[in-house]
Amino acid sequence: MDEMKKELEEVRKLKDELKAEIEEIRRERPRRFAAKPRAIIESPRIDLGGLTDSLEEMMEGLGDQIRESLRGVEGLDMRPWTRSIIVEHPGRIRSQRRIDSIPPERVARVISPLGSEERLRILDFLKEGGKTFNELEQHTSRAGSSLTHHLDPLLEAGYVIKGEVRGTYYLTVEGRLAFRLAQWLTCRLELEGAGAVLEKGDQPQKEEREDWK
Amino acid sequence: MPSLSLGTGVRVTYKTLDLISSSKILARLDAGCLWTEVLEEDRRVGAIIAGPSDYAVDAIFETDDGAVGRSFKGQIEGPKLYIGGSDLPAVSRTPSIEELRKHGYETEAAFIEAAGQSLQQYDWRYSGGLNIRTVPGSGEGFLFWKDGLGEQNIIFIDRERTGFITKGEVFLVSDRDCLYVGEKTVMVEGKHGRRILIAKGEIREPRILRDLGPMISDAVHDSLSEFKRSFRLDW
Repeated sequence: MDEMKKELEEVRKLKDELKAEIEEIRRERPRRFAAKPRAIIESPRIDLGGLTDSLEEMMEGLGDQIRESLRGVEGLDMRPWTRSIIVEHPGRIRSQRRIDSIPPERVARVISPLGSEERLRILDFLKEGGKTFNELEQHTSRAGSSLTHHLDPLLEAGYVIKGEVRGTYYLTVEGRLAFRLAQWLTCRLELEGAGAVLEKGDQPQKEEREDWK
Repeated sequence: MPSLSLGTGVRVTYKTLDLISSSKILARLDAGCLWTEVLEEDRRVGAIIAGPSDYAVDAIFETDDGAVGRSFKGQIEGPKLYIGGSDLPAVSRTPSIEELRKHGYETEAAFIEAAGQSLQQYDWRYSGGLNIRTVPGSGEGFLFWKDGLGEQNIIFIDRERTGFITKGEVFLVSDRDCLYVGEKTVMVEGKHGRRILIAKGEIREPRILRDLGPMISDAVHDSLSEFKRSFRLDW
């Protein structure tokens, strides 16, 4: 057990060192490339709190990032390398097609349970941890069937799971992801809306600017 | 395997009893359950029980990414073997003929004979470290039953562990660690909260594995940059 702890500690240290080195290189890049702009090495990333980092996606991202990395090394013919290094994912195209072919009614079935402030409030509350029905009643100020009316669609969609022993409600991985995605979409649309307002010459209020940060 | 025998009397519950109960597991007997003692030598260590019973198991774990696992709930059909202390005698009385007939027995002897056959069918290999000489106290115990397909199920609480074993799924919790093996989820957690979690085919924890892609990517880039610098190539 102690050896495992030591090994984990070493791995953690190694990770920190690697991160520090990478950060240092990143800090150097702008200075080094200031005179001659070049392709950005890192692909833009949207922070979804790590929730969407599945192993599959991670491996797909790895290929993209290596491609981007090699693109920055001008003057070297790296194509044979890229062929050997890039992580190909044969299921990716199929997966993309599958996603594109999802009809609106199926999307609605998954999304509609989120289309209520009360339900989003429940998901947000459950992020703290499992809650009993009474706790949910107190938090939402809704009692009995009124609360059930909102809980049932969340349970059916798999965003919330109910523990049968004590009647405790938990936010599932899918529920947390859905709430995070909804927040991300909100943030993005609000930013775009704000951008449009700015283009028209209107200045945002101070509170609005604070919200965007 | 401990040498078990049955008592001679039959009793029936007249009120609901939580045979096994914790925040994660519940086994509840309704009123109207017939039972007879299971003895080791002359000591009562459990019972064979027949009658309306329910169980619920919350094999749910909360992680940083959300809750994983699932909740089980159902009725326990047919005779079941219980090993452990309980308040069964306190909520039971002698059954009437009607109460025996309701379960398909004409006499107490007929029930005891059927209970004897049940006792033989349970596979004690699953009981692991169970020491029948130190059976748990009231509210703790081991309950064995078979479903309609003959698959054995066990729920238990003893001084160290809480667990549920059913076909293809295992759930164990103790103060030190926990384990869940489900259809699409495997989770092992140690006492310091270190966790390996594979859910729906994805490694969700440890998080260091999630960073593997970017780490390799950065390492490749850095190596190539170094290579470029060594040959004094112009960027």
